[in-house]
Amino acid sequence: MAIESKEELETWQYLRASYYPRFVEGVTAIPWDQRFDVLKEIHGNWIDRGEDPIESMMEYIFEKGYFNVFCKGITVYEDGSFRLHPLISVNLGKLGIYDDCY
Amino acid sequence: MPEDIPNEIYNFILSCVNTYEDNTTTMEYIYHNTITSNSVNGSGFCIKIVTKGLTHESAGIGRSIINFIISDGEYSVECIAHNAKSDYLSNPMTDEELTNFLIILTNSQKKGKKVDICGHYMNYGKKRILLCESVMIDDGLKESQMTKEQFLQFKSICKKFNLSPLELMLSDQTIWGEIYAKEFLKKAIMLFCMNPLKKQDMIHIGLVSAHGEGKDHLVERVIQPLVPCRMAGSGKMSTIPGLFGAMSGDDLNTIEIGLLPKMNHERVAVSEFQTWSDETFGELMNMMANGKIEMQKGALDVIRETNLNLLFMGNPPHYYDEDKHDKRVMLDAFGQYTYQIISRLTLIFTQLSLSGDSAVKEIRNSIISAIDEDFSSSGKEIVFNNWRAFFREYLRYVSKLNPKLRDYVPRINSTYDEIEARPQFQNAFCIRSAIDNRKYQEFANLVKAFARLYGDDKINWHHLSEARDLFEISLQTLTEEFPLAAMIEGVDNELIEIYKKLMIECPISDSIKELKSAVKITNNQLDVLIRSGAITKFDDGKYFINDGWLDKMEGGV
Repeated sequence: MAIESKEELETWQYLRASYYPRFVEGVTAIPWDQRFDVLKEIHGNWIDRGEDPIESMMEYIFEKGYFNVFCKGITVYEDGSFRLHPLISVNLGKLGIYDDCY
Repeated sequence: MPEDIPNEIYNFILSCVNTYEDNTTTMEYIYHNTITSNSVNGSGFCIKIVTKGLTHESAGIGRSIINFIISDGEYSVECIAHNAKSDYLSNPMTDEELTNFLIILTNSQKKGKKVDICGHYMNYGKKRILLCESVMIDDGLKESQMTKEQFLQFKSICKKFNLSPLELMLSDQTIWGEIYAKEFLKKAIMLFCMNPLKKQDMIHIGLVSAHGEGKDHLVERVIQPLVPCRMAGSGKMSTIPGLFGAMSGDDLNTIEIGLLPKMNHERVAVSEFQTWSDETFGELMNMMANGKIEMQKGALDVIRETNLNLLFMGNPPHYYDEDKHDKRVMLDAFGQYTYQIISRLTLIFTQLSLSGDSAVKEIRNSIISAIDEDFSSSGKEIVFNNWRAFFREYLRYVSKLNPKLRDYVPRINSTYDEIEARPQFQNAFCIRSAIDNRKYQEFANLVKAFARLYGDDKINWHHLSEARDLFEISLQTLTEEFPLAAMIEGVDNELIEIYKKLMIECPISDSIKELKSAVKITNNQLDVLIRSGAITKFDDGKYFINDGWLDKMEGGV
């Protein structure tokens, strides 16, 4: 079983504290019809369920929160480097840029 | 941000401040002692050296005297040092001491090193001159008076109350009580207040906002009481010789000290930079990147160190319209070197309002407090001064910390790559090359600078997060397209006026003579207008002024 390196763990700490709140802020600003597509794309392995796929996505988020999807869109490497899914980058505030200061 | 700072912290900083002394050394003290013969010391740059042989019988055989001038930019003092017999002149040095003396002075003159000198005035011939007893290189960065024990204890107390040193520095109860500012601006100013040891440490900041936003107030009420910071004047009040140094009118073998070398390891704020000429920005570019200036004047070839932080404050161009124009049009104020200056600025904030519309109440409150002199009359000034004295030494102390970036490089790279991949970044900075190494260096320097502000000798994600936030806010103020192409071509306000006049008075001309009769224009200006697409020159010698060029340029297409 692969053991998470100290570097990986610290990167996740950084991403959770620094990127995740902005992602939530960014993604929740999008109407649900578009948000569904964004979350589905980031998830990468989403299978539509039931008659109303958006409702099933809502249920999924209700149960697991956005962090679950956020994690699926991120790759953290052993040395601590990472890659964000482009749609996470785009949704880190206005046009992917921090905008809640003024 | 702490609402109330615990008394224990204030009592601690007070106990530290009581041990600090005002140790600012210039040549002023020496100059003021010209009449007395007291032993005096001061600090400045050697700007002239003349070594002469002494032929007087009582001086001894083969003895020398060094005549030199030490200047701090404001006060110049003529000095001597010698190895003659004491019957001829008091306080002689040995040959070895005098040789070392000469080496140090030459270093100071050629490489712009500051020196500390000690001596006393005496009459030599008809001159009143400083007879030097000692000289040593001063690295320019004043040693912090904060001891390691005080530093560690301060960090420990901060930890006890779950506060960081940076949080305390940003508090209205410490050094920001006299002015209202947004947190991002406060952080940028604190970074500016650090002391750059080497060129990689320099942090240059651009602040472009509407007039009346309190930019000068920021310098006068926050920066200058906290750390040494000189203001460079606007336009013609701030000349290239004044900034960089030039040959003295009295002696062409002397290069005077300019403002920038004088403030080595400290900082300079530029007020109303939009009034500066392109020439001044041109000369400044090398200094901003390399932390030194090289001059060849007369027989002298000198290098002066200029590792300092620059703060450019100014207004947008007069034609700027918030509704019509892209925010980056504000940066037109840098003239034809806009692109190069932007590249060298670690942080740029282009906002009409630095404080936001919601801050009117707070700003007005600060203005009234300043007019009523609330701070000086209520005893708050003493408290603020204690905090300033403490943080002055803290900033000097942490500026020497050297947290290594190496272990954090993978995360720094990933964070930077994510920002760099954004279209806004590409539009703003990466016009000429696919990768902007200078911006990367600036970003990495920001991470390190935040670690220092926190007083940490090891990088952690908090520093990276702070650097990223501030870098992004800065980038955000440069949104959408902006007319970099036109700026690179060197389009300035004067050219825009020429274009407008030509559009009205001579939209089509048969010859250059006709065009020049309509408006005063130099060949160089004409070339720029042709290159940037404002004027089309036809093979038959006719000139056509292109309608819509200005909209295209200002709209940033």
